[in-house]
Amino acid sequence: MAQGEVVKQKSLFFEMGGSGGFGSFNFEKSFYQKEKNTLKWRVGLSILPIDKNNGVNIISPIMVHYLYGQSAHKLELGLGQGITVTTKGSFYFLTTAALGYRYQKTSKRLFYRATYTPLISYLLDFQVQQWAGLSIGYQLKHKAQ
Amino acid sequence: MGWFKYWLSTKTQGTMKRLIIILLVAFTFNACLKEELYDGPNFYEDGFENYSMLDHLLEGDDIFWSFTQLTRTTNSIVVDSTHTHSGEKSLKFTAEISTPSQLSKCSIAKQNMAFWEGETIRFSGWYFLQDTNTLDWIFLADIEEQTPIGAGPGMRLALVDNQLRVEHKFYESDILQPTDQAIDFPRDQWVELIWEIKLSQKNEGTVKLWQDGLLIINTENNRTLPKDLLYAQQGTKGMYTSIEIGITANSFDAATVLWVDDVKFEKLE
Repeated sequence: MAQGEVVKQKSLFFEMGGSGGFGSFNFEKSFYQKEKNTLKWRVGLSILPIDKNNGVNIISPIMVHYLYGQSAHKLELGLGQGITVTTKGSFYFLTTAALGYRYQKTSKRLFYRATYTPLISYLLDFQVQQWAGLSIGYQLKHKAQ
Repeated sequence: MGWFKYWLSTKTQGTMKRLIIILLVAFTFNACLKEELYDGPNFYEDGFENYSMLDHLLEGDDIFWSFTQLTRTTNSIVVDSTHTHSGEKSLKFTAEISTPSQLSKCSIAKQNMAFWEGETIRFSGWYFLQDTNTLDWIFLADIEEQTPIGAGPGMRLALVDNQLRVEHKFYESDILQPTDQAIDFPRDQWVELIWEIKLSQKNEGTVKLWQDGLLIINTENNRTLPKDLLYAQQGTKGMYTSIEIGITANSFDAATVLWVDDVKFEKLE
């Protein structure tokens, strides 16, 4: 790949725990790639029933991830927002962060992630929840531009 | 503060410095904002003498009480004069038995109050629980925080094996009376309850409960305030805002009749 070439790789992955809370299905797409550096955006979806009064939480982590590394082993950093909308009309969000490891053989489409994913509340009270996630994903296609 | 003045005067790392200052200002603003947004009274008392019907308790904008929870059409709350602790009136709560498909609730709540972390909240009231039948897991008082996301986390008084305990509506163990000193909850008579909680999101809170003047629960190093819990509970602020009395959830054992009189919520100085 030439330097500066943008490879819009699309992937789907399931993250157990992690930035979506108890678990989330995610779509990610790379939008920048140069040498060992890759940037991806990711949007996830998770559903969490609370109770009759509060309804069901629909959760979406929206993040930008930075990957460092050219081989199968990559360091991963991420930052974004976790948005919650309930079926009763409530709305809230918090900051999501990620620091972890991604493994994907260059010839394979399957990849794996292990990440430390603190959830940071900041709107009304500053609180950091220690949390982590494990992911398995599948790279959909390569599209060089 | 010398290091701080030196740090401010150095010209290196300007961008990082600006970012840190912005964050500090944001957090300070954030702390002030929540106390301003969620300001409210920290004292209320009621002997129910000035009402003739339930609707009168709910008049105005949280001047007296805020709302009732009656999850069955046959559950009721009435201003009553058959049993009173003092004066001529009390509140009578009548609740059907709870079933697995629906909890039976019969309670009244006052919300938009403000009891902050570090403060000690005291709830006191007189309860008259009719009959001596088994009533496991009946809840008599809830202290909660109203959160944008979540099911009103807080603490509540429960009766189990006819003995009072403190239960958390967040991940903390119940606080029980010491086994060798545990006493039953008297029935068919007025019982004074005083419940004091020093509020802490860390393990720096205390919980005390008196039953007819006898200290039956006295614990320290408790987490007494909820915190955010992933996406299930968001917007906790380190405070309690709502107090609910009556049969906040009835037992699965039997229908219940309860009178409550002379309640008071206050921040201890």
